[in-house]
Amino acid sequence: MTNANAASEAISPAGQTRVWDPLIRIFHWSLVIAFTANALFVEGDSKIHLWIGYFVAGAVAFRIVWGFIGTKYARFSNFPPNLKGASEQVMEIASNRKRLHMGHTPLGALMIYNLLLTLIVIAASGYLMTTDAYWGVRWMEELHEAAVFWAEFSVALHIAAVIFESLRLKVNLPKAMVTGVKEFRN
Amino acid sequence: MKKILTSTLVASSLLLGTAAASFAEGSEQAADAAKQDQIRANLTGQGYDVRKVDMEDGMYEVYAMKDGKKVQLFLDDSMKIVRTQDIN
Ligand code: HEM
Ligand code: HEM
Repeated sequence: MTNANAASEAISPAGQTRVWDPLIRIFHWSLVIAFTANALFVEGDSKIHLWIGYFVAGAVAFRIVWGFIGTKYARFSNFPPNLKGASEQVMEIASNRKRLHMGHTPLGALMIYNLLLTLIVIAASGYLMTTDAYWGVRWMEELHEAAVFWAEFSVALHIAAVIFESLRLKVNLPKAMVTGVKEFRN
Repeated sequence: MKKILTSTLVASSLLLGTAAASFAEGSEQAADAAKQDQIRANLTGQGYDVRKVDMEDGMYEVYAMKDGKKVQLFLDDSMKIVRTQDIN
């Protein structure tokens, strides 16, 4: 197994590395609950929908700040948007090679930026629908719903990719997002 | 690898199916054009700035402004206003 990236990082003998700090994990799982609630269960014209929506906006705002001042693997500088890296990762998958990453992979990074941006569009258009200027303006509602649809599509892909990479690299990624620790098995 | 790909694909299409189904079930639709015009004309005459006319649960749901306030009106089949709701 090639392990170029991991080699330079501190891995304990058991192959465990602490990657996600508690705030990232709380951010992730509360986002999962809030997004699912608003997308699938709560009516758009109810008060709770707005409160849950504002919570999502706040969580995303926190994440952006944390991307600059947070712990090592939480920082955007640790997973910059990198198309070259992403295409290398695709080649790597296609040719059955394995390369472990401590933090987010290049493809994962692209998905994260996509999700964060989409959530901003959802929250902004949602808020605007409640203002006098955009009250009952249909295109704003259509923008909100289109962004939600794109987010749902992206989330499906996100989850599929997490499962796929977990099996391919034999690292339980969802578990790492719960415990904060990535365990690399050989 | 094939197996991993297949199971991942199956899982994701199930998820997408759920998302698509939840979208299709939305109960709000635009009301038909003639009715919309009629409702618009009627309410505009009463001082409303009508923004949108939808159908929801067999009623016409109107989004409008009146005296600088957002309101939602529900009209039945005979164009009678059955409920008015101020949105703060
Ligand atoms: C995670 C974030 C959000 C998701 C997933 C989401 C999802 C949705 C969906 C699926 C709809 C259309 C279905 C329906 O009307 O029930 C909708 C409508 C709506 N959403 Fe959101 N939303 C989010 C955030 C927000 C925010 C932040 C606001 C406002 C502050 C907002 C305000 C609205 C409004 C006003 C409607 C239209 C309700 C109507 O008039 O029928 N949403 N949203
Ligand atoms: C059960 C469903 C989900 C699972 C199992 C899951 C799992 C994961 C995992 C394992 C990661 C870390 C990926 C890596 O190792 O690089 C991650 C990251 C992320 N996921 Fe999810 N996810 C789920 C649903 C969602 C949803 C619904 C959203 C948003 C709408 C979301 C948004 C994110 C974001 C923004 C990150 C980046 C974390 C950060 O660094 O802040 N996820 N997810």
